[in-house]
Amino acid sequence: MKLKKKFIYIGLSLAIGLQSCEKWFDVTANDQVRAEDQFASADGFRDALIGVYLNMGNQSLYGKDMTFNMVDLLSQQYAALPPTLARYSDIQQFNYTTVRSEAQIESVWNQLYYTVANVNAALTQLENSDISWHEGEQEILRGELLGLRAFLHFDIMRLFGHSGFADRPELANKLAIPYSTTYSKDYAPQLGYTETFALMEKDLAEAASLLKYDPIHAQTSSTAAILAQINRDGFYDNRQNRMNYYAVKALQARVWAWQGGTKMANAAEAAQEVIEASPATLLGPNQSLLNNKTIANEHIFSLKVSGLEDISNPLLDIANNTNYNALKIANATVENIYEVAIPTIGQADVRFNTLFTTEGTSKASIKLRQTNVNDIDYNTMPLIKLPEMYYIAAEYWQATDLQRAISLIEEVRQSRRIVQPLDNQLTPEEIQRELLKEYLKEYISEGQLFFYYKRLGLTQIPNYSTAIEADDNIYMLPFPASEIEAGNRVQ
Amino acid sequence: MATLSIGLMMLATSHSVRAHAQQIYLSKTNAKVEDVLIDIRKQAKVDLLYNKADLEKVSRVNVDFKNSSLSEALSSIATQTALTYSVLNGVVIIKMPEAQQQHVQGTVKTPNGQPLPNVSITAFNSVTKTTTVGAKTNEAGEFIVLVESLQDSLSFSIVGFERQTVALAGRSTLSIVMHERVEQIDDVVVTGIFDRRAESFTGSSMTIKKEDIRRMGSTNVFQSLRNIAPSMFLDNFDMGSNPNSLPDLQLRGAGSLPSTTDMGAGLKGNYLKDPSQPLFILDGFEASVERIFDLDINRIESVTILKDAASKALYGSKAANGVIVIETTKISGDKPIVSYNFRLNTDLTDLTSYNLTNAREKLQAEVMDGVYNPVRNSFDPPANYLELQQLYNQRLKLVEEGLDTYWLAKPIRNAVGQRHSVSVELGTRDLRVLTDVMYNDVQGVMKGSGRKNVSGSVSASYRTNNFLFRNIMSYTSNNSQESPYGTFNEYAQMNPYWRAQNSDGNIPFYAEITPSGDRITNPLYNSTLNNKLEQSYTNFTNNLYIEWMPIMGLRATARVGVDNKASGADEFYSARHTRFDSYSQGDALRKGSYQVNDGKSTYLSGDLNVNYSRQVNKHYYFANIGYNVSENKFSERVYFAEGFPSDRLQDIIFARSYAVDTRPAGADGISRDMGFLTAVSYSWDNRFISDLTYRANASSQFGADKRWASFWSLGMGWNLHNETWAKDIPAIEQLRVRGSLGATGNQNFNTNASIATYRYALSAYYNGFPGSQLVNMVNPGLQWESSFDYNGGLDLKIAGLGIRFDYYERYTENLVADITIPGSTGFNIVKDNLGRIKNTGVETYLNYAVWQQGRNFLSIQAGIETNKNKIVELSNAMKAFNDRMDALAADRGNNTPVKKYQDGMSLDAIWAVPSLGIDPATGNEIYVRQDGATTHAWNANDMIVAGVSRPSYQGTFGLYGEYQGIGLSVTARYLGGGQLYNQTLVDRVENVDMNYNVDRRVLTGRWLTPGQDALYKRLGLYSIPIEGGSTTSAQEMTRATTRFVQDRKELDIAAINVYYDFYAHTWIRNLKLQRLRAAFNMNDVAKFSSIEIERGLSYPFSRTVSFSLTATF
Repeated sequence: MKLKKKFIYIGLSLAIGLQSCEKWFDVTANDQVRAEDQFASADGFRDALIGVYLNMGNQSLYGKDMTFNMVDLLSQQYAALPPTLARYSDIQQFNYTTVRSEAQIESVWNQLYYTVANVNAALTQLENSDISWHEGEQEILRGELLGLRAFLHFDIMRLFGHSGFADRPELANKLAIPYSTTYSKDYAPQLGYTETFALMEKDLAEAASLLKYDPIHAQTSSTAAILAQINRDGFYDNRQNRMNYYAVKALQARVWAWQGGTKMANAAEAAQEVIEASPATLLGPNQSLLNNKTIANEHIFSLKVSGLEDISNPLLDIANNTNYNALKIANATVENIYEVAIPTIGQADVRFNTLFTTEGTSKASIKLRQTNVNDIDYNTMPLIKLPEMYYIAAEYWQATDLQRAISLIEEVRQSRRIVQPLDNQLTPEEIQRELLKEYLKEYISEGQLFFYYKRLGLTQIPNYSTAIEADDNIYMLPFPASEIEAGNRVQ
Repeated sequence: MATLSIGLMMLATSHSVRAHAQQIYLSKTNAKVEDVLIDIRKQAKVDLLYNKADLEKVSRVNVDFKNSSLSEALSSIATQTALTYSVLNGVVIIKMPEAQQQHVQGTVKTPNGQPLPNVSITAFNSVTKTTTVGAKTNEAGEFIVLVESLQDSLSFSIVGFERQTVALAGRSTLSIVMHERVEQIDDVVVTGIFDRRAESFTGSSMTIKKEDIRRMGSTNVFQSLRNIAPSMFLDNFDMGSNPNSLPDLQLRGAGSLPSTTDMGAGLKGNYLKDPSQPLFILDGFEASVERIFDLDINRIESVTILKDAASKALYGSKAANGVIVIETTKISGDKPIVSYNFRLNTDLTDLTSYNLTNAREKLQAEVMDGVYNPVRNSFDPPANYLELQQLYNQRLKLVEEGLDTYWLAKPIRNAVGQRHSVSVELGTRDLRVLTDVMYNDVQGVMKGSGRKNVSGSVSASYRTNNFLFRNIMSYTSNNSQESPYGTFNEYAQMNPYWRAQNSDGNIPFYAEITPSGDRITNPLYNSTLNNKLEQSYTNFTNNLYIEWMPIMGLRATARVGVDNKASGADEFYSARHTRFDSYSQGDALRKGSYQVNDGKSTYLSGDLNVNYSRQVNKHYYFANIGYNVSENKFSERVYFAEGFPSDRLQDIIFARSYAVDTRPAGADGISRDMGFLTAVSYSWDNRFISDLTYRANASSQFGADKRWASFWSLGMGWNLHNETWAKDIPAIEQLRVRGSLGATGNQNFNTNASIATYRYALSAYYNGFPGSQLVNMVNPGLQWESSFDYNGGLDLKIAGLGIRFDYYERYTENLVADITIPGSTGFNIVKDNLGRIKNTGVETYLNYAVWQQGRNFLSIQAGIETNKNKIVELSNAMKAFNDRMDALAADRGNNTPVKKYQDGMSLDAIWAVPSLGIDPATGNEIYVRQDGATTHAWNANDMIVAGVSRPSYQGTFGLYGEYQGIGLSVTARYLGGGQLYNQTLVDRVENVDMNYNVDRRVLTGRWLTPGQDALYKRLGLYSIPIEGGSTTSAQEMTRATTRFVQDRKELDIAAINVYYDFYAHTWIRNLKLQRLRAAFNMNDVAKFSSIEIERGLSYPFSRTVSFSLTATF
């Protein structure tokens, strides 16, 4: 009898022990942090968010390839690289299937989606988090993450999706890029363009409404009391370096402009809000560019890239003849772009007369050349700048209100110190041509030009062989083979 | 000598007098009495008790019973012979009347007063030492036994209790209390958790006793195991006989894919496990390979290899790769015993696999190769020509002067090591202590390399009433040294016309300075420096066992174990070491390097098992339930420093700075486990036996969704030797067929492969804020790699011949592998479960006692183990991996076959392009394309499985015996049925780098002139584009071709052991010695192989000769 009792006691204590054992199994090695531990406090969420921005500065992403290197090589703004000697010579010639290009494209794809995975992991945790948040913080973090998810997917689509979407209604039901919303090995389905854009717009709308708390917002819901709690350490300062409210609005403008048609009105409206309400201002008449070559006050969204100096300076160094990877632009091309033949336009343009260096018959943009740690835009990579909002708005108004369109372009031209004003009698076609000129002038080394061509579906890429007609073979970077194989993707 | 009839002692089944009513029909002429009695027993269904020796003394009988009663039959026999019979308790006792035999009655009980059935009783005469009769106790623990006189002694024995001998001293009734004892290996199968009755065990296991271990090797337990179960060990051609390299083991074939996760370079603490490695259990607790490697071989009592599901399922989630259970010596008796063992080991280098050119031949080979022909397109052809001629003449002069350095001999020696071990056993019946101390100094054949162990253990046991406490505490301190001479291949590659030592004995820094100023450093120079290449660890373990036996048959065991290890390693290279020769002037201060490793691990475990066994009539029940919990934690840190002004300052604190571009590195791991165990055995009449095991396990290593997993096994067997018909064939001692099936798991994996973890970006901040990023793809569904085993076996012992046969099929399922996933998930790989690997094989072990007389005997043994391994399904998910491998194989600078995994093929497949040999006209190799056409172009897509590197059969055979105290045993190992890619031919004959020494076959085998029928070709150079657009030229390599796939058959004389036991000499008793034995041992005596390939690349192989002396006081 006594024995039986003893066994019952042992059994009972075992059963109690088991109840608490699930936690006991949650252990991991020192050099890594378990996701549950990472997200056990607001600090962990902040660190995970910063991790996303740090990763965006990766050389395969906005630190190099997604901005001034690969994407700009595709836009043919640089002189032809020496074949085989230069790393990106294949890609520049739209040879996407060589061993080198495949690796380069795959790396961009993988890094973009790796960043998305980081965003998704943090978002999922944020939705399920049971920590007590100060008012505003959870909203801002979620808004930023949702905005980033849309931003990254939009760039993936701009690179790997079809061209000229606005004028090709047949694309609406074609399969777009996978829009990933979970961090899981079960990969996202490939949806049609309409559905993919809907997901993107949904994320953006949600982000915009959450970022009401963004301190940068003109009518921010974050009172001083709220900010005193959540921004004691200045974590929510320097909003232009993060996915802020106006970056979301500007991105909306981009996304709607890409879809074109009736969405152009929405795009213009969003652009207008950014122009009017955001703290970003165009270059002032007396403002010096010398320590602010990317014009930081025009940045709606820019990225701090750690070690940008080591990435950009060698590529912009055209003095060394054996630097095969140098991003040169022929003198003649530059002079052609900036209409140097007309002194009141070209010579006067601050972008022409201060942002280039010349070496023999070639020039190089010095926009991203890092020289001084004390520069206002040191290690800063612009991702969305104010002039683009003017251009998008102008593009919309040229259909209905020519004068308004002209005056929007004119505002940017004047800030660039072009003396000769635009003709008041421009036709819509001429406005389109002026806009193209502006894009060419404005977006040297910023990674937007190729996407502009692609959005319009230009069959002839400026400054490129006229014998080659640009179509989706050129505009669409191929999905990596591993993606097609392992994910059963269709492009 | 009187042999005892056991077959007839069936007292346990008590028949009443009613048996007499049974009628007997029997007709025999001139029959042996025993045969007649056997027939009577069968027909009358009655138990007979007699002494076999008595029956042999009487004459043969003629009987003709027709419907006779038992008493009629017995009287008939009694009248024909001098025998008498009587009936007692329903048992018929037949005896010689004149012997005046008496019978003794009594009861046998446990200490608790429970009757003990089935106790074997033998009576023997203490003066004549003759055993006379035998019997067993019945259900009630009662016995009845015939004795010749009441001055005889009775001996009582039963499994699980200590043998007890009682002198009758005139008594005819006895009341005996048996004491439980530590189980003997013959009777039980040691599983490490609880012992199972061998008689009713259905699993496939192999028990190796201490004598066999000591006979088969001298250095460590693995050396012995290799000569008993050879297929378990994988070849290590690289590390040879390095005393510090741990063996790679795989039981019953490869079940896991090789690990692809690299936990970080420079780790040395042996904290990470190989996924295919079996589980080691030392005295009931998990132990590392290293711990077993350094274990005092004299302390080992037994090694049990648990192979099939029925035997290993007890270990559930860790058992898929098999379990090796090692028990150390237990306290033997209650007398004080002191043993001393001394062993002197001599290691002799075995360089027979090397066939390098001598100085003259090398020079000749160089001339043939055109080394001294001017370089085409050289900058200044005449100067170049002159330089080369000068070089040739300089070398020729040295050769003519007689310089022929035998570099292979430079770093090696005949190493002499020694081992002393002492064990002392003291105490009383209740409290006993066993203490072991060992000093083991193993010296390697590379000068300066060695491994020193000092270890000690204290094992104490205390018994009180129903409790038994046992505690084993052990401590090991290890220090291992690598040779300051460097690796062996540095010497093997040196040209014989290079100078290792000047005539005055000085060792030059450069072995050669060419006329053009090229310098070749002399590896021997490094031996003059104070380099430090050592590792050490200390290991402390304490294992506590508490056993409680409240009632007969019920036993509860609780165990708690602690294992603590601290390891360190220092790797210091003096600034003057040849490795820094290439440092530029600017880096002069960076010369000298230091690497420090610092590691520790803790393993805590505890378990509780309760088991109950009971025999009811013919039914035997056994049940065990258990619970276990454990935590395993390790961490290791590595630091690199450089810039040492002097090699006398041998400490990292004298470094100028941390090494350029390094930061502290390391690895960490922690895992926690918990499990429940249920094991049930049932046997009926000792004839039909069955085992059922179920285990539930949970581990922190697995995804939250799959944390708990269950494992099970079912085994069935039939003891044919207990069948009535078999009992009539006295030669059959054992005949059992058995089979089992079940599932077990494997968890030798990176501890956080499946969990979402974050790592902080250490080098970058974003506006002053830190960021962390995901490390891997989460997979909450990741589960245990599991193994499904089928096993069928046969155990046979018949007339001195023992056969154990097993056939197995082992399926490894849910292999943990890196699965390719689309990059749009954010990652390209995820650790996931997939695929199946099948291993099949046969294991047969034979043992035959050729002759036995008293202590003298001669036995022969042989064994064969086969294994075939096949990927059942896998390759789709491994496609990315295979493609990468194809690309690697296609690289013109690649000279080794690559691993590829494809369905239907072996994991150990050698992939190569079929070759028709060398085209005599052009000297190019002719390959066969997939479509059958021939080509000169090598293409990875043409690769086929050209062979399998794992031998399909391996085995041993040998003999052992003893005559008048002289013992001899010889063991040989053989293997075959596999192939090898002959890398020596590739590297040293065909792809030779003429700047270094080559194989002799270069001179004769290579294609030189059109029309020559050659085995080997000559390869040219090709250019590799490098960064910045320029190119560099590199030697083209022979890519994987079937030309170099060779069949491998080997025979090793693995161990020869000769000993002399001084038992026959009376003087040893005068010295108060109980035992004295001297032994001479040789290991790896000779090797015969069908394939000529260099073995022992970084460290040569050696032969061991040892002498040992064991004395017991």
